[in-house]
Amino acid sequence: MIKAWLIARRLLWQNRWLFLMLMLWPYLMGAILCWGGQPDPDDVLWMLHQECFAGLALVAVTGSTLLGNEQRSRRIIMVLGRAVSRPQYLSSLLITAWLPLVLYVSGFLLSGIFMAVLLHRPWLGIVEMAGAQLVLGGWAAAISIFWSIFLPQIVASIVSIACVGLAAYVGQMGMIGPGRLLVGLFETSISGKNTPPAIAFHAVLTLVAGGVWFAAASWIFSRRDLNLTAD
Amino acid sequence: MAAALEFQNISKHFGEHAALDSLSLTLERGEILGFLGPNGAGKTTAIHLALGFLRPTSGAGSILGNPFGDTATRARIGFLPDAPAFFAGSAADAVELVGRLNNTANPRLRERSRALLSQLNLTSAGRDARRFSRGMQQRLGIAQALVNDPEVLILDEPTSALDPPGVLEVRELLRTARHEGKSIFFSSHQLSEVEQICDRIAFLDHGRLLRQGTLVSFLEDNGQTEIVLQGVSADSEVLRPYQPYLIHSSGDELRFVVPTDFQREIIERAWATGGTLKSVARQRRTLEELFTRWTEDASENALGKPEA
Repeated sequence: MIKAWLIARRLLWQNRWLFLMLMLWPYLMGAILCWGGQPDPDDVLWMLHQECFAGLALVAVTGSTLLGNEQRSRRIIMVLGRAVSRPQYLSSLLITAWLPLVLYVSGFLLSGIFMAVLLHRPWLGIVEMAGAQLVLGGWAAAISIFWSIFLPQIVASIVSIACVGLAAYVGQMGMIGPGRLLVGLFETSISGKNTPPAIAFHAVLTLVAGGVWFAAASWIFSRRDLNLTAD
Repeated sequence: MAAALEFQNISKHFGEHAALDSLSLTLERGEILGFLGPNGAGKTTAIHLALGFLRPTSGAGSILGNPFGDTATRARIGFLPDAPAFFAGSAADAVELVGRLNNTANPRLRERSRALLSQLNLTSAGRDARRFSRGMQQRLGIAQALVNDPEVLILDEPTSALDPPGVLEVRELLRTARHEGKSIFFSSHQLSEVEQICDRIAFLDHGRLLRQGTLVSFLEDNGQTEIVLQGVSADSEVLRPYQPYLIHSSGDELRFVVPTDFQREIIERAWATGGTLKSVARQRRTLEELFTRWTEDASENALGKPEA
């Protein structure tokens, strides 16, 4: 895990400006809504849900592009030419895709709570949404890294976001795990009054599903040639 | 003791294209093997197979007795890619990262990193290794390859971007490394470098190993002798049979390159006519000549092959 972190730290540092800008996004949206006085509660809830989706899309796009970037720059050779296993390397990509979400969610949380306070409402729902985002972000990162092994970056990004959309669709049909958690995320109100029951159970299942995607990605990546002429 | 590096009948195909065809080659412990071949010969593919970046289509291989791609074994290897690439950060950071990825711990890592950067004149290098010149990046790559004090060094074109002082520094480093008992697999186009530091060479073309052997055996006597005579005319009757071997005539000096078997006869004939012998020297091949000839032979063989 130390090796994965050593690599991830450098990958994060390389993209620090992009990630910092994304972190500011929830604050910017909050500022726009609060411009000129108290915002409309429906607008705030709509915006928070949009931010949740944007956060997951951020993870999916980041996760889908990392491997291709490293193969194209041939930095992957510098890393995998050392005592680093393929699963360790993918772990570093997973960390790199997921950690910016923590920054993003911190902005989501603070700006969301600020608006809830402005609206004189409890803000438990915002905390639940933030937690669900982090769990779903891990799952989305694993999916996007899985697809990035086979597909060019842009296609992998589209397929990964489509997987998130598909999970939301099947979640509406009663599927458990990530699908249900996604639907719950978009149903949760600011106060958290209508949080779906057994959401913790679905969160655990989502983590397990992410683990399965990641294990499959590691298994396949360990048995494939590196694509050093990547797109 | 297992060989430092061994390719056992290994092939690699990319679709229909055979990048490597039944390569069998061994790097013994403590030797420097020069791995030669024209562009596209399959040298880098072989190195990538050894490090586990690629999986062989058939055959197998081992490094220090462990199969290609074994993660733990890579901690005992130093690797320099043909085009080193770095994360944003200083030279020291780049070297220490590789040391840590190869399980080298402080304070030894810090000491070794400092020593290598100093030896390769990188201590005053700028802050971001990505912005270094190509030569500096190559030197930094060499420092990365050596930081874990490896048993085997795999170097892909280590001197291709270096200026003459840089080449000397690297040559010295490699000689020291051999002195310390390291085994070195050295892919290069810099034939003079190969000639100066390698014990053995292997020549690859179109994915096939065409020649391998000690450098001495390849560069030894080519069966020709250069003879310089003075005080004898090129038109003299006694030297007429050797006219085809005359390569230069200046004043009363004649320069012949003759098969070594004729050496004694031509000298005796010159003496018999009152001439003197200025010099006799065995002709030696250069690696450059060999490289050119082998490449041409390989091209002719490829052209001569019947179509499938």
